[in-house]
Amino acid sequence: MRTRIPLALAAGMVVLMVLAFFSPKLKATYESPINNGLFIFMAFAVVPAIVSLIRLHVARIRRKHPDSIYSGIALSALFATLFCGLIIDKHAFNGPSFRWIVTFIFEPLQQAVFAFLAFFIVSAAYRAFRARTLEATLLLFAAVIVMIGNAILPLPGPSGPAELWLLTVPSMAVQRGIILGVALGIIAQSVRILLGLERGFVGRG
Amino acid sequence: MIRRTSLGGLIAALLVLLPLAVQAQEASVTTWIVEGEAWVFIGILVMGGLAAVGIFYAKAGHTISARAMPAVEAAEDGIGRAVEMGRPVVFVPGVQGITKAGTIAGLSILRLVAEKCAEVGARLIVPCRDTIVTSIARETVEDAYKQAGRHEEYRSEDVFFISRRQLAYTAGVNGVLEREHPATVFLQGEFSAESLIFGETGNRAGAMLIAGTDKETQLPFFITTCDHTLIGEELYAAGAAISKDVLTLGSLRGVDLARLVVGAIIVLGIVLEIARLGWIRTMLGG
Repeated sequence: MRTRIPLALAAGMVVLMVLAFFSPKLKATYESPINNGLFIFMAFAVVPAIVSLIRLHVARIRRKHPDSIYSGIALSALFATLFCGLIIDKHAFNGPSFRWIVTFIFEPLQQAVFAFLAFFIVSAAYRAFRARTLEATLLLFAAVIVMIGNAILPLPGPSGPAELWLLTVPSMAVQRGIILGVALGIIAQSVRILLGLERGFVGRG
Repeated sequence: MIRRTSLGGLIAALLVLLPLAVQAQEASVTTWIVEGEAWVFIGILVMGGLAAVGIFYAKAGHTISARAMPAVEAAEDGIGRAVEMGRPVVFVPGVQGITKAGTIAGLSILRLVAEKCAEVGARLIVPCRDTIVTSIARETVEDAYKQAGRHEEYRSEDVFFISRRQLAYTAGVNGVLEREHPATVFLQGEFSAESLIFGETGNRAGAMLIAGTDKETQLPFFITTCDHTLIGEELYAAGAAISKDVLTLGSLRGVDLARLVVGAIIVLGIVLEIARLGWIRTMLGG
């Protein structure tokens, strides 16, 4: 029963979502209650998720794990943010102390992680181009044309600049092929949900 | 089972749809059916019908085989490698919520990976970004260990939530990869800018990387950094291919049929365009 009810509900939602996509009137009616329902589920799911996070780090500190200092930092950050939001800002969403944490601690840290990308692009490119295969050579060749075309000088191509042709003809053709395959995959997945064959979202087999 | 679930689904749809339809009478929007989308609706019905035909074809007892996917074959080796090395397996179920098709496909693969890990005694770590996905992943992994008769080996603290924020989650997963030194990392689901960061950090940790995503913009990063990649629709097919479930494999046959139909329409469209007859383009709203 614990599996059948979610499967039946999901099958019902597949029918509802398809019909609502083609009916603006139905969509206007259903969109808000369904979205509200989803937010309520998410709010409920936050509790076990946060509890699991706290349990994980507390257990690590108790076991005196070699990296338990990071667990201490994570827990301190979690409780300090909660304290600022609930006590200092008195439940005010986006209050001054909460805003300070976001602007001066959280956002710089986020940008720092994002900045890793620049270094990782270089190391990934090095690995890809080092592989001595036909595919790697073609990739290198295409990358050099696109880089030179965008940064220095557009090279002549079959119809206009070569880098533009590479991006709008062969690359676009492959992307469309992938998108088409994904669309068919999603339709098949929806049919499997409708028939109760897809159970990845239920949790139980 | 199929009949019962479909019937249950239809009843559930009716129960939800009827009150909404009554309520919809009073909605400020006046259009019941959107204009110009008829061909999309027909297309969805035909493609969905073909997928269903494949399933019922398999149900009738016909043998269905899926083409070999190197990434799927490598999954088993990767889990075996983890046991041999005494290191864990990390599974990242994408960065999107449960409403995304790619996440559902990723969770189907998680189920099969968890079953295999439980069977051979490999430790499985699942860091999650979405709270609902965390709950589902925890139940999936626990159930897989229970089914394998190894419930005592299931560690609830190994399936955990990190953060809803994309880059905070990325940093958290990086930390897991750097500290735990996993033997194998599965990156299955929908990914964004963090795909390259995960791939490179996994490489630095010396892990075998098996990725899969339906985001065409992230595929080059996975192909460049990972050992094996499920490309686009392969993400949706992998669950069926690993499980070897006949009915699920049947849906893949249905997708093949749908692909043939789409291919035929494209060829017909090209021929007609060359002959300066643009009625397919006009009909599809081009």
